Amino acid sequence: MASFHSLYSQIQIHGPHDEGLPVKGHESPRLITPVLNRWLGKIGDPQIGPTYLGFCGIASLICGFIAIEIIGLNFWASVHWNPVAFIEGMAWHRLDPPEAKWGFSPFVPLAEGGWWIWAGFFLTASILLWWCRMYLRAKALGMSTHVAWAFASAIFLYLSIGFIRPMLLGSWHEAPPFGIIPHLNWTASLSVLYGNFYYNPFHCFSIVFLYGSVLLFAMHGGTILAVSRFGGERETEEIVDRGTAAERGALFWRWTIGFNATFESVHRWAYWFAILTTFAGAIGILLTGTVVDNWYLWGVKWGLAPEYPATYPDMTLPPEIAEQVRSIADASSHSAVGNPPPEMVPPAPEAAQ
Amino acid sequence: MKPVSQRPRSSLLGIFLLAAAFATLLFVLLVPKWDHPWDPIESRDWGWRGIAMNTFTSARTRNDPINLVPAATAPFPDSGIAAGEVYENIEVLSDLDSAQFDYLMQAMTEWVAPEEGCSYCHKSGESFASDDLYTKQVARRMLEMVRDVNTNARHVGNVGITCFTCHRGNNVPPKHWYKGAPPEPPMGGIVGKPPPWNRTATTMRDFFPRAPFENYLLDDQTISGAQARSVSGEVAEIADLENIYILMMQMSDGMGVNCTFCHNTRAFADWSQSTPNRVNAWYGIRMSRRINRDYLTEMQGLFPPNRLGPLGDVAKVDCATCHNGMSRPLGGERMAERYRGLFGPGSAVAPTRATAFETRKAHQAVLTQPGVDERAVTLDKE
Amino acid sequence: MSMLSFERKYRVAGGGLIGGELFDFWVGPFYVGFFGVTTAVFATLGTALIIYGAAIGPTWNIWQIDIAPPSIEYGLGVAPLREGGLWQIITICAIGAFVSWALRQVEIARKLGMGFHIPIAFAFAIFAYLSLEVFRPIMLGAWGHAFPYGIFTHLDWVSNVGYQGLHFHYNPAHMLAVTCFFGTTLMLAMHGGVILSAVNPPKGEVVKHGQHENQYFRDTIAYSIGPLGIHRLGWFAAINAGFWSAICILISGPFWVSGWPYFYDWYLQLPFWNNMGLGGLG
Repeated sequence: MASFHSLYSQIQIHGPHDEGLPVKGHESPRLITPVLNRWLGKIGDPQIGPTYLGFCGIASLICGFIAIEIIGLNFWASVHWNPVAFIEGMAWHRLDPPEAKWGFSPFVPLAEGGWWIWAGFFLTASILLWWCRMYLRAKALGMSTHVAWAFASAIFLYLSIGFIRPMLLGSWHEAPPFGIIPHLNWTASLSVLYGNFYYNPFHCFSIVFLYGSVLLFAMHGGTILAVSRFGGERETEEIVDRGTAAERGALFWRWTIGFNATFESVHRWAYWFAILTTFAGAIGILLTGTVVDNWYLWGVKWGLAPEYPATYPDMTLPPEIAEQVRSIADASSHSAVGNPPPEMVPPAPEAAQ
Repeated sequence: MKPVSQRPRSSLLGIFLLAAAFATLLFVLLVPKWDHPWDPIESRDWGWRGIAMNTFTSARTRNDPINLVPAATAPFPDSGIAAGEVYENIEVLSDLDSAQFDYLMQAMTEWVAPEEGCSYCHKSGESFASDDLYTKQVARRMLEMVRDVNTNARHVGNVGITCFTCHRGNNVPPKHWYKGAPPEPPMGGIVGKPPPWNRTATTMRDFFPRAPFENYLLDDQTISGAQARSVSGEVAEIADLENIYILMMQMSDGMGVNCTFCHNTRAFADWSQSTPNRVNAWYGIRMSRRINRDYLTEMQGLFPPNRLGPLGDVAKVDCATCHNGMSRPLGGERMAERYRGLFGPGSAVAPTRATAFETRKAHQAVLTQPGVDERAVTLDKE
Repeated sequence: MSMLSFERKYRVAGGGLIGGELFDFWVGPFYVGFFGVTTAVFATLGTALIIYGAAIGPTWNIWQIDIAPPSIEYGLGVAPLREGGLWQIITICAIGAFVSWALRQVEIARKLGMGFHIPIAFAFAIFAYLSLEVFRPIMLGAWGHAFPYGIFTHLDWVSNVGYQGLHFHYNPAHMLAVTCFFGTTLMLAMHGGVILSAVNPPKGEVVKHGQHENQYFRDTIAYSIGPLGIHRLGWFAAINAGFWSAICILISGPFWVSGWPYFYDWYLQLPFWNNMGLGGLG
């Protein structure tokens, strides 16, 4: 069977559209008449559309629309429907989750976080329906469902932050607000509150995979671009029938780092690095506040935290500060898990010396 | 669709994109008030080498006219007569030598009302003894405050404060704050309360909500719980934590420093990894509370409406009010010691109480007065 | 063994930049070349010095080993070995090794008749490293502003540098860099996933190629950038992640001393914000 190929050369050819593979009988028709864009064609494929929506796509867009409307109208209402103030404050408008007193109750008055729950509900519905689409379209095209499962890993992180962890802790208040600056403030505050996330080993893993993913894409993208003169971008063809592009790409890395992937296995490396970025992140967030209170102290306990020479060996705490610190530390020994480790006890008060 | 050769080969989009990119670049380079490494940036170390506990100062702060120390006038020789015997209606400074009283009054005029002169507090054409003007009543109470601070507040150590520390030649200190009106819930509250940003602000300092100042520099909320249970004994609500975060940012910005001035950020709560500056800041927070409560709020009734905030409250202080972007106000210039009247009873005229800032045994630079090259640091490494 | 089945015909002479035939050989799978030799020298010396630094330091705990730069009182001068001098030599070794590695990639690319996209991308990573360890410390006037070599000590450094800006999320270049990092990883997942799903079809299906890959993304997100385009986009996004990371740290301190949230005064002062009667808080 003839199949459509993208060909790249210095000349951009605008021929007939690729109308796409035929949809099966029970499927909806594709939407959007394809258009060719010369600027897109300078980078990649010039054709936009046609696209497939189907039930899941339409339902997902509707739910997403509702979620964005709830968030956007709350933002706009918060400035008394002033359009200029709405635009000016786009970065810092916020829609907060319910306060801690509401616990994890699904029934919260709209003005006190109910809108947040509804926005979250519809956003989640939209994302899950979109996941179904990613799954179903792969099936419909006779492909495997790798992309959908990678997406599922990202959804798991999203749900861990906004739903599962708040559920484990019994409070919506642990979830982030909607809003650009507010969610950044939340991120920073949460890290401080739980003793700095960078001592969280799963946060470490997540960052390793994140940076690793970027490194991998730089290496892989660079390799394919460097062998595109041998047709290297036709990766699936090279996977089933190795050509000189794949051989040169492999040898480049073999000669450089002593090891090479193949045109297929490099995509497995890529796929797992990307998936583990969000998966490790999700584990890290689920352990925070549920199993571990303070990641820095966890790091001290397991010998991760470096000890630095004292810069102020003669520094003493005045009695009134020492007293306040001790009273707080005493309170914690009743309420918290275990006593504070010795290094968190303040230096002896001045009076004692 | 027409073949490409018959379509206009217009590159309007490309030209537009290029122009937009160029305009953005120009905007980013020209509009924000960038610092420049060639000015140069000066840095200090507050922790073990290599862990970046550093603070920086730039020419923007050093050369800010607000931080210039005014030239002191020649001191007056003592007259030997107490002010209370020379003038009428003296309440606070009656025991002070009258010549020193005059010297202080002259300085206060320059510090607070250089344009209006004596008549800012003393109604022209009337006796100096008259208490007609509210400004005089405020000035008297402020004098009591300065004497209290210089005598009792550990925070200011032996540097002391004067009116100029805050006022900088203005009737109202340039950096002050009022309470924020609770935001009015729109649509009868159906969408909840809008966030308490100050939308008419033109600086980020003013834009941030006022709750951090109100909770921690006016009310007596303890700043704790910002780090999880096993350290501080309790966990703040995230909303409180955001307020603590904002307070700490406002403090840092007000003093021209950053978090590492006081904390090793891997364990904010841990005093044993903090610098002595944190001790001093602890006293500073309590001093600000006392000034705001015992002096400023107490005087609220004296002020005319145009001196009050939108909620009718008096202007209040935070770190920036004195510090104005420097870690030591006016670079640590000891202006107060020339004026005996600024120290209350029980205080030596040249106080010897040291702040933690000065007792530290480390390799930090001592900030010198502005204008002097601060790179010439003194290293008192033992 | 050390050669793949098709490898022998590619092992030809030439392509080197320096050294002619002298170093034009392989050791096992590794190509050597002039820059392979310099890489090995720099890397071995640097690694040995790190081990030496650990040996004279207080701990062998891998997480806690700390090879710190000099304290800032040394400015841009040379420090004694135990007070940061080691860090200075190791940094020179690292730069030598990284640059040699990039040039070795150039030689190998030339030998294989490939483009230079890989060493160009690597150059951006080197630029980011140099920004952190050389350019920014020079602009701030002291080597002490560079990060230490150590697993958790360099993280402590990152934390403190972040809090030097009070709230680093507000750094606009950091926003861009993070966006590029997340975006690149998203695209990597999509690209890796679609290739694997095309060549590993379900039982009973034939292997799929470009037409199905295009179709999958057109069906799901209305646009498929195509097999060459995705590598251009991914490569571009990846080097931008490195580039904006470098910019975000280069401007923190040398060009912006205050906290990053206070950067945005200009935004509030833009002339076209008309409050339209909104009450201010004073």
